[in-house]
Amino acid sequence: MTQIAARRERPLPPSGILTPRLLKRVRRSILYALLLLAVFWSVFPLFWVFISSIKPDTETYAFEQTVWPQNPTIANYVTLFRITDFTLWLRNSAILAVTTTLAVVALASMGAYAMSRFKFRFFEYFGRLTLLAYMMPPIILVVPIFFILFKIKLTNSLLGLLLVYTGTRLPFGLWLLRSYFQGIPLELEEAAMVDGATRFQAFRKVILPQAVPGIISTSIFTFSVTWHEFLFASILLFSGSKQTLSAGVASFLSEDWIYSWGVLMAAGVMVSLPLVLFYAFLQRYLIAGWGGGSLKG
Amino acid sequence: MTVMTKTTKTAAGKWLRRRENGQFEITDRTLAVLMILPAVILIGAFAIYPVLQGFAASFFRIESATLAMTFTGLSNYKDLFGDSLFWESLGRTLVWTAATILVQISVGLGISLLLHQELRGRNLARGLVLFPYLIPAVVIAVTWRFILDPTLGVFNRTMLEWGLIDRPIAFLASKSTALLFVIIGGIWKYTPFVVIMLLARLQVIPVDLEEAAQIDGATRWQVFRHITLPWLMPVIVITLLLRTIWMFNEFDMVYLFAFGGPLFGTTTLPVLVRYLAFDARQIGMAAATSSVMVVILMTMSWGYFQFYNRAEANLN
Repeated sequence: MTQIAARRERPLPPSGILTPRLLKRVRRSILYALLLLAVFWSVFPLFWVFISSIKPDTETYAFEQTVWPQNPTIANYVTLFRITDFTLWLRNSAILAVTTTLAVVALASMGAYAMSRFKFRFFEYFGRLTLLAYMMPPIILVVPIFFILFKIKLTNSLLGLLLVYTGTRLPFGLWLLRSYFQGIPLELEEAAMVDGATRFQAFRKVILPQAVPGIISTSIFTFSVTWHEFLFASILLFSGSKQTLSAGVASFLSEDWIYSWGVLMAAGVMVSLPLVLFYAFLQRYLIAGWGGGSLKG
Repeated sequence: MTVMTKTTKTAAGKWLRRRENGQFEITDRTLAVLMILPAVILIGAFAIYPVLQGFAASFFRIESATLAMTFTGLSNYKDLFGDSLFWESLGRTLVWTAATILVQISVGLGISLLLHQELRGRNLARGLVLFPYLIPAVVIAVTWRFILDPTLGVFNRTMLEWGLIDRPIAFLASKSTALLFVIIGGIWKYTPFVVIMLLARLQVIPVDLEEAAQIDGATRWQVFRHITLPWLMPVIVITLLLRTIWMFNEFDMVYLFAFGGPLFGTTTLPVLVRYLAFDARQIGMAAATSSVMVVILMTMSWGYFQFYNRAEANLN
């Protein structure tokens, strides 16, 4: 700071051909070029997936490479839905993502409320333990979890996976929602209870509505992480029809399955589309939640 | 707890209490326990117990068919440390983590500063740049496998067309290049996370600080060096911490790009755990590898927290 304060006069404008105005223009052109590059780098692979998904195989496999499809077709999508188990996987992923999100939001908001309002030593230990649990790599959990589910006969079952997903996503929800509840003044529920509400009613009718942004962030996070999830699904579900999208599409890669790249690209589009739409609608909350939640944790 | 309700204390008053009208009602303590119980059970069963169970299993030889356990002390660790595959995997994990982190943080910082400038189309660009983070690892693996395909991939075809290579190269099937391309994929997917974190912080930077410095005649570099960077520092450190842990833990991206091959060329520690447990059927060794990972993780995060506290203190 002192260094800055010491330099009072502006640097001299460069002489000759590089006038400040030209310099500014050059600078802006460079910035726009960089911006374009960043966007191209981020979007090109996805653009290529989409473009390839609507090209007929004859074009993808042709000797001459084309960028724009000469004869756009939905044949790859038809194959994907008709011939593979994709529809089942889509259904399984949707069921898991929705039920996990509901379970995490319900259990995390109750748990976070208890942790933010009641001072027990146990809660402190538990809070730290969940933070540790949140850092653990899923790969080290998967073998022991496999045996746990095996013992209670819940391997190869969506219910088993729902329990696992809920248990492993809860730590994030607890931390995020706890910081939200801590920001809600106690007076609000006290007022409700003076008016005759029970503590639980006060929680449900007064506190929860106040924490809606936090609940939305938790839901988006849980939903998309569950939709993405590959490792647990690929190991805990083993029959083809029970798979989720990630594990199912990955099985296309590991077998000698390959019908065609076009079908794989169509699968890629269908797996990503819900997330992209979801994101487009909820972008505002998403960024607030990612930034806020992880900083407070 | 702070709310006063008229109750008469009974012997069981800790958990239950009697109202004036004679009905029983649960105390706040009971309510708190009931509310947190489901979370405690599920987190305990599927996030905490497995870690302990895995640690315990590392001291046993476990038959994969019958799951019969025989106590063997430290022999799993001895076998592991005597196996060059373990050391190579550890090395690859460190290369993967360090390379992806360095590029993510520096490019992420650059992009977030760029997206913070008053440029036309900035909002659209902000949305598009975050895309890779939304896309599931399996789709990214499929995408890059296609783009890098030796015969049909756009990468090889374009390079050939431009004369940069004289014959197609199977980048993901060659031991010398596979890890490099997995690293590029990792950078591609996770840089947006850094952008999100830093952009959020940039948006709440006190404007008067930057302006005052500019009026005082500070150059752009000085403003960045003495105002913007210290403001970003705590977030950079916490992002570095989170990303280091997550990159170190990363399984999906690394595994799906090349399934740990060719010739273990992309086998990092998480991929090694999967290989040991499900392909080599050495569950005890897999557990020992897991425990080594936990120790490394704990050390890393302890170091970072020290650093984070200092960065926060500097800011105040």
